[in-house]
Amino acid sequence: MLTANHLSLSRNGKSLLQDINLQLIPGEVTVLLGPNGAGKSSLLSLLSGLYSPDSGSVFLEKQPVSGLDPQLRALYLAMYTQQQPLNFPFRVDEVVALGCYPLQLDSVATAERVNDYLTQFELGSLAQRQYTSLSGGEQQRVQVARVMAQVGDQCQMLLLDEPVSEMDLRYQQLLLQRIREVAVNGVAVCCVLHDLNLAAQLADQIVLLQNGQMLASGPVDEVMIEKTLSDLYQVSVRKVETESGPFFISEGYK
Amino acid sequence: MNKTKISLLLWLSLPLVMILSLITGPVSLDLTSIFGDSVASQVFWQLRMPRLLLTLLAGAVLAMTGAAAQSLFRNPLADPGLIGISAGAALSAGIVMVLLGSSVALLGGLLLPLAAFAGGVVTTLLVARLAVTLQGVSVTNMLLCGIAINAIALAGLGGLKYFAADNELRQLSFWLLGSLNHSRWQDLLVLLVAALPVLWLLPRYGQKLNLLLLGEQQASLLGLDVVRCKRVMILLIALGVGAVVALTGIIGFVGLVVPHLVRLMTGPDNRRLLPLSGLLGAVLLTVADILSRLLVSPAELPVGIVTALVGGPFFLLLLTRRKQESGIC
Repeated sequence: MLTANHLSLSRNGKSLLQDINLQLIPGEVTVLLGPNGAGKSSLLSLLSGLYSPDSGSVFLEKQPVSGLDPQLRALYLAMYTQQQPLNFPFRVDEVVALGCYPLQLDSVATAERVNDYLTQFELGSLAQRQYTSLSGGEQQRVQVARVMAQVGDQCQMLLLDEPVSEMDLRYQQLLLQRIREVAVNGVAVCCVLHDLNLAAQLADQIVLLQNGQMLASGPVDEVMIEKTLSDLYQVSVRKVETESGPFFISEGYK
Repeated sequence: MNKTKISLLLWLSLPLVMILSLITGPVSLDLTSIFGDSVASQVFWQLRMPRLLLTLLAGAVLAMTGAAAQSLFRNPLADPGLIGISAGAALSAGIVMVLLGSSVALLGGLLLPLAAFAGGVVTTLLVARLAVTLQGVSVTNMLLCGIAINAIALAGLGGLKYFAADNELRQLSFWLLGSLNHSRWQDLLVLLVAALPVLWLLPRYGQKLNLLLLGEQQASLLGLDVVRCKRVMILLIALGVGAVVALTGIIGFVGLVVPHLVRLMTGPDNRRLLPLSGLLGAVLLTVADILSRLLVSPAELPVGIVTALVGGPFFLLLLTRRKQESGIC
């Protein structure tokens, strides 16, 4: 379990997050929602220990995340970041293999694991292609596969910052299913999304962020209501109940 | 051609260029006359042999540190020469030499390499500070920083000529052009002290540099102690480049061209790139040195002129390709 207490962060005199309290529970998927600049990525960076908070603390079980040895942290926690600056022409299978680095597998086991994840993300036909020659959506799928390959037996936390932003519908659904499978294995997942429908489909818990503050948190039905979402995004959002769950439609810039 | 064949071919070419280098020069030599007390044996053991070994080491160090710098800065244009590390090292060594005059020979000839190393560390840190932002590496800043440092060092070394004694003058212009002439056994010893740790340790960081290529945050999330790794890289690069510059002057473009050729053959994986760059660097600098002796024989060109004449156009070619591929090189 990951516990964040009273997190605050500011950069260059601008306050990015104020007094965030959050619990991420093993087996549950938490989806962070909020407009651009609300502090979603900053929050993930604090949860992963990439940034240190100005005040407050993040604990993974009973250990502070910021005090973890990097190698140990890589075993306990995997994270997909929004920016992926790789610009050297590695092959796709080489990129995924880098995700196995913390697991310290031998070359045979690494090759097996890489193959497994290439198959899981339908990247088999791209395995020998150069990463730099792929389309944006394909690159994102490769990087997500790399991060998922890092999730081993000891992993407790998976953090994903807009992992589907460039994927087509099929791969969005594919990834949602993979995330579910990871959660079922007892990993606590926290994912930033912009698509309200995907969020409703995936989340056990929704957290709404606005201007660095937590606006609301709770199950989909309680938090994702028309008025709250309309106020949050400053655009009118309509909720349509269907047999397969709620759907959200945004209409009209005002 | 597969990767094993490529590295086999490189290894086979090594003894070939070594022999060529030993028999090339104004005094014609056949290998039967190198033993005994003849002029030929003097030339062989006191001139050609130390020169060859120095060339091999310098080539290997320049190419391998070039490859490491490119992974550190996550950019294939980050050659220690282009971004100013070599010039910073040369300027620092030049200042120490002119200030100390004849007492520079103290410490067994280690003083100039140490000064060059210090200059290399300072410049690398400066480039890292200016070019590496939170969002990644700014190529523009990195290359502009190189231009500025190269200009300062050029002016500095030029200015030092006014204060230099006659024999120091020769040394100063030698640093600006890069030359393997006048290599002596004691130089080789000094270079060995610096080069062996570099050539031994850098390949051990292959996989860590691969992680760094994913981005600093990504590498950190995969368990790399990024700050420590970068620190070790900067020290090793500065040590290697500093020692080579102190003994041979600024030999440009080896650190740019060689890793590029290796990447074209075997891909960007640093676990192969670093050792093979070292090997190809040794081979190619030896070839350049042979050319420098043949082109204007019986005189010789400073080898830095040869590498710049080959490397400069190569760099321009890279820039054209980079332009076509819109930013990714």
